[in-house]
Amino acid sequence: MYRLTFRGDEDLLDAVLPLLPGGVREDEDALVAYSGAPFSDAVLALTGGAVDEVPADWKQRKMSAGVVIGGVVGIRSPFDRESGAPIEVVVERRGSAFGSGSHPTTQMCVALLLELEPGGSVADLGCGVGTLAIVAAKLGWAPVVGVDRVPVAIEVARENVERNGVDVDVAVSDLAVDDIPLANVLLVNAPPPVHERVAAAVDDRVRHVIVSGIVAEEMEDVVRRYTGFKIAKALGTEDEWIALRLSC
Amino acid sequence: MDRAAAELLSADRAVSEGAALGQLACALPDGGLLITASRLVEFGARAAILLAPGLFRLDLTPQEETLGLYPRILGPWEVDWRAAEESWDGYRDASGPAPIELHGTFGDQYTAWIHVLSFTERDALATHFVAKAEIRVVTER
Repeated sequence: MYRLTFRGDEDLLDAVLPLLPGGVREDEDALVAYSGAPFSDAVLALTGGAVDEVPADWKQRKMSAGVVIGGVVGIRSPFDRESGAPIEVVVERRGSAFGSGSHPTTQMCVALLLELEPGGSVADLGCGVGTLAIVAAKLGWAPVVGVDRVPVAIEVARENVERNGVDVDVAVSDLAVDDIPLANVLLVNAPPPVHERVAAAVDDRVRHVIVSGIVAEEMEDVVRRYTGFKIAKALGTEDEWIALRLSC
Repeated sequence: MDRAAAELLSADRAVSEGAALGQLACALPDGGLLITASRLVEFGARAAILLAPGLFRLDLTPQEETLGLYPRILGPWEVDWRAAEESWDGYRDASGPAPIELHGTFGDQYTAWIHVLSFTERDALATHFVAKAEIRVVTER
């Protein structure tokens, strides 16, 4: 397997992407392309990049261990090898259920939760397969509840709760119409319309809201809706996903 | 159809410039252009899936749970893109909503209707895409 590393902007991508069927990946400030066959002269001339050889299973080696967040919480599927993190969370997802831990918003929410001293209740609103709620329970928060509008997500979340041996109450609930469960900490990894309803329901019980599932351009409007809360910490990714801890 | 339109809607040009992508193209009966391609794209990679020379290129970045769409304008066009909202979850839920649809208007001259089917192969850490675009001159509609 050949790896081509180069630097460039959108204008360069206009020229090379049509020549690279496998596409390119961002690796910090470089672009990387992989190919089983040698790169063409045209691609090499356009990019001026460096080529080296990597093992054919480089992707599996990189991606089969789940993720470790903050050196504390490891999230992996039942098929991945153990991460060795102090807190290991094993989750499975099926169908359209969200929240395996692979997505940056899930990872950023965990990172923000890790900065809080555990103690008190947590509600994971739009919990998907239960990943964040399970992490919260393993960190010592209690009681922990999780709701999601997708029945299969809750079905899998129940399995994941049992798999991880934690006490988390999960239920099907449509946050667009049903009552919003409140707690000392709200985990809301969901699109803006959900934040709008949650923000309208927040009362004195809520001390922190971990907000994600939004992109940079949506941040100002979402934050404005959480009246009385200020941004205590903000995280972001290069592809514009945002996670915030709002505290009051 | 004027010469500029004929060039932009040329199936031969779309096949030639999209050859490395395995893109196919043909003229539509009403004078428009149909382009189509299929590809297995690995999670995290940004790959071009459709190329309409002089108009746009559609890049996709599949992740396990989300899909990045990058419509790149190729030319001095003012473009209005619209996505069919009911199709947004089509990537994650193959049994649920319709495939992803995008509608683009290039100035007041051309329209593009893009349709993307996807199937994620989690074991391969990649997603299969089948995409097509119908491009027409506005006055022909």
